[in-house]
Amino acid sequence: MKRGILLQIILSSVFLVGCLGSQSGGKKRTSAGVANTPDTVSPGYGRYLTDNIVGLSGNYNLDSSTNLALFLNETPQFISNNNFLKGSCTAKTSTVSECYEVIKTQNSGFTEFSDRRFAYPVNTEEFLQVQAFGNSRDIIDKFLSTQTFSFDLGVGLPYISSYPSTLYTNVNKPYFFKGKKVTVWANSGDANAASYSPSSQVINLGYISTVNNVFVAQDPTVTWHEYGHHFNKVAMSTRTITNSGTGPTAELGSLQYDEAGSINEGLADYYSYFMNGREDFGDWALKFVNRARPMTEGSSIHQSTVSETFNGRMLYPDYLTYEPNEPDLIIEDVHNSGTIIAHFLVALTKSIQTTCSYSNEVARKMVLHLVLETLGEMGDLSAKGYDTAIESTINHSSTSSFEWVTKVNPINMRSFVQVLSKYFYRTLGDSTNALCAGGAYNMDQYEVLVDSYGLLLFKTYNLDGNGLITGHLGPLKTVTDTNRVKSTLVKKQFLKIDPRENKFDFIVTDDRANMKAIIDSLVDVGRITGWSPQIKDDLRFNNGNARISPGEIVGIIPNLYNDSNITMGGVNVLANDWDHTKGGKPCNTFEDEWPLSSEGAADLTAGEGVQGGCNYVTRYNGENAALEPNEVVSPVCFVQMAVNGVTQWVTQDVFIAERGPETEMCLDPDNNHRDCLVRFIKGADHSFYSKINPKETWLETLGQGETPEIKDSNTLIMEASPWISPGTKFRCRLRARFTNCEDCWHDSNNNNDNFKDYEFSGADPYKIFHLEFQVVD
Amino acid sequence: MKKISLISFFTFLIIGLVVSLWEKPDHTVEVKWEKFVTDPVKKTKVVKSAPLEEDLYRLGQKPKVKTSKKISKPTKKKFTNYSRLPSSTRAQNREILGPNPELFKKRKVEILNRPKKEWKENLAKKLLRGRDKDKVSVFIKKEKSLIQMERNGARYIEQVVVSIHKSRFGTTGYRAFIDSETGSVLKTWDRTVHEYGPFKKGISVKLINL
Repeated sequence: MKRGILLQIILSSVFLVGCLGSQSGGKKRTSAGVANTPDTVSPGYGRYLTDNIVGLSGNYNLDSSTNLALFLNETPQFISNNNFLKGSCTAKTSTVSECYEVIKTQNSGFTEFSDRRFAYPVNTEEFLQVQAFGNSRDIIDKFLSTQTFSFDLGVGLPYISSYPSTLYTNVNKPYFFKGKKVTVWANSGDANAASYSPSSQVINLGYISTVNNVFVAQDPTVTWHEYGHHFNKVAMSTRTITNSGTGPTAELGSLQYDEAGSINEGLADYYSYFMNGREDFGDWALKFVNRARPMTEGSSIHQSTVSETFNGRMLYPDYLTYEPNEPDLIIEDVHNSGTIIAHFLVALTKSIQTTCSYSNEVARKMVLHLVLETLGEMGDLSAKGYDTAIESTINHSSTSSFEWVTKVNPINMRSFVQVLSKYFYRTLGDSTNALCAGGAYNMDQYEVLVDSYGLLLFKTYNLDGNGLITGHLGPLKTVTDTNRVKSTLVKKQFLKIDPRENKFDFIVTDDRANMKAIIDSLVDVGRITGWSPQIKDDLRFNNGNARISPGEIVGIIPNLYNDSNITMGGVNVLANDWDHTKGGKPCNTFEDEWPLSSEGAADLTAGEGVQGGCNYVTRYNGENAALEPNEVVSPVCFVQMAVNGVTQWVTQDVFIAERGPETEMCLDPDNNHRDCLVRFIKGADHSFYSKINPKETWLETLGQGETPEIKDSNTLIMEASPWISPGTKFRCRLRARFTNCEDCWHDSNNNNDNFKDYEFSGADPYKIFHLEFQVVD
Repeated sequence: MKKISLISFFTFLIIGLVVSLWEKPDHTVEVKWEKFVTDPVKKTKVVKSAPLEEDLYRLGQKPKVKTSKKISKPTKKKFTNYSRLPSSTRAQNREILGPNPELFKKRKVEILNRPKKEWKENLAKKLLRGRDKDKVSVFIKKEKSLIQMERNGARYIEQVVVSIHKSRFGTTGYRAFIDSETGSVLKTWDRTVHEYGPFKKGISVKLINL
């Protein structure tokens, strides 16, 4: 009897505990996975995936029909005390009350969770939103936590940090891009969509078109990648926003393809690794478009023979066009090029972890610290780089900084790694900080690691910046030359227009439909601001004859050739205004030695060595009339004209003064008559090419056949006035350089320190070449 | 005395009328978007359009809705002419950007343009230029009115957010400085980063010697 009562009590207790359950809800796992329904959670709780299901399962071969519920954590997670998916965030004592939010699709408002239960079946819209919300909160919290850690290092250690001291107290909230909230569209309805829009602070997540039931929001690594773009923006803009809450902030990437954009993508991939410590990205959602990306040479996604050894690394520039899933393809895309940076940063993380006896988690924080310092300096449009600097220490000047960062001296693989290396040297590489196992990380070891990726492309750490006054004042910290084994530097003289017989100098495209599509696309993405009112709206004068005719808008692609035995990476052509005239006449003091004096070159017998002279480069990009009244930057194109019976090259304003048309008929009748007849549209006056193999052209390197596919980033866009008389000859003096160029970035007259910023208005950092053409009817 | 009073009264009345009708720069900080499309009849004309319901959702102006348990149909918002807001809501000063802002305050610099209230329509026309066949909608939201100091003088500008929606392409956007007189785009930044899709397509060209 007594035994029976005791048994009853025991059994009753067991059942009672089972019925009460935990505060957050009951366990409802069956063989079909967790029954993720509202009744299984308490108010404020729900469930979402903290990584994609490949990461959670370790199984790369899961197909699109896989039930995500099998990988949900049975234990519910706290989501929100609100009825809507809105969250706040805090860094130190500053709070952004409306920090992030998730909405259903781009065509809907907020979903109201009236009972504050956020558990929904995995095939519902509500689940996608909760998923995106949870992933958003996780990465924002971790980013801000790491940012404050980084900031504390920066202000606490005795090195010059790029952080503004008022990062968390400034009213503009520069630590989170002016405190503007991020909105995530959890299922936008756009095919294969994953984008970040800084103007509206929207992250757009769509669906995968190649399979059913796979949505981008299901893969946290992709959501985190998009947030990575946002955090890159945050980091780049901290100093600018601290200085002023109004006006532009720097961008990391300005063309459809360029190295700054590639770095942006590589860093965004790294944010996935930063979150989960896994070395693969997009291995759920992007697997179905065969574009998952590895971040280490040991990843099974690599189908080639790279390895985590000195000789097996993803080498710059060779791997710029490499596609890990299909190594036989050659793809010029920022995502492909960016994998070099992602691989390097993961390798650096592991090296710091091992050498400095950190956990992988802490090592990731240390690398992100370096990245945030680097971007904070490089994106400073107030042109200082750190609080106590004078203006123009970096990025030329506050007036021209946006143009410098975007076009004239843009961020590329070389400059990014150089600045990152500077902060590495000042932090982990400095024994006084004792950040590496009580001492310093050996800088030779660091340089060897950088070199293994082909990224040791700088000769000094440029500790003094590029400023007009301070740019060569030192201190000078040089790279050990013997550490540069795999990184290859080439002199600019080897970059040419194809000199081989029966080869063309330039591609000209004037097909009306193509050019209309390019122009519309460039206007839509904000890369160009429009085109001349003199050119018809429908480009009706574009006749598709691959010549330049009056009234046309044409695309021009130089046929660039690498005459060296080393691959050139990051080839960049500029057609913007620069300092190459004197008194309205072309200077012939540059390497091109053009034109002859008899052909109208500027007079060199007087006025040299001072402002206005051919051998003087404007310090202010021609924009300071008070300090440099005689200095201007001039358009690149000259016109051939008979002067007193002698054929000469003259500027366009000189030509129209003699021969017309009237200035009201110029391409820019209201503002600018100096490029009245032909001009490169601003924004499309620079072009970029990923790499050129030895003894090949860029087209040959990309394996393009008779009908190559060209990006708008490969194309300079030129307008030709309808008032040009057929037969008129033009000559445009363009400038080019490439990332692993020896004499494009290093001033041999100043211990190979970086060229000062102002010098990029002139000729020295460039290879000059000419585009000559005759306008045909 | 009566005459003097009458004269004073009418003087003040006239002054009041002149002040209220005088076109002042619109410093209003807006919070809502305006939509522009190509006129469906006259393809070469650009007109302001009432935003569609889906536009309001897309641009975050749509009020919250309930879940599927009980979805109430939201009411359509009316388009508001912001230039007619009372002067008490207008900011009185434009922030001055660029070097030597004191020159503007001291009136020692040439003024390069004069603000016009049609700047937004002019901007839309430029963005929709030659697009009569495309289904493109342009959304413009003014953020600030500013003055930009340049080499040759001072220019009145507007800081705006532009959002462009193309059917079958999706949405892209950026921030820009706009000339307050002509509506010309002067500078752009904060441009959308697209991972994939039609905004990243290339073109095929045929190779012919120059």
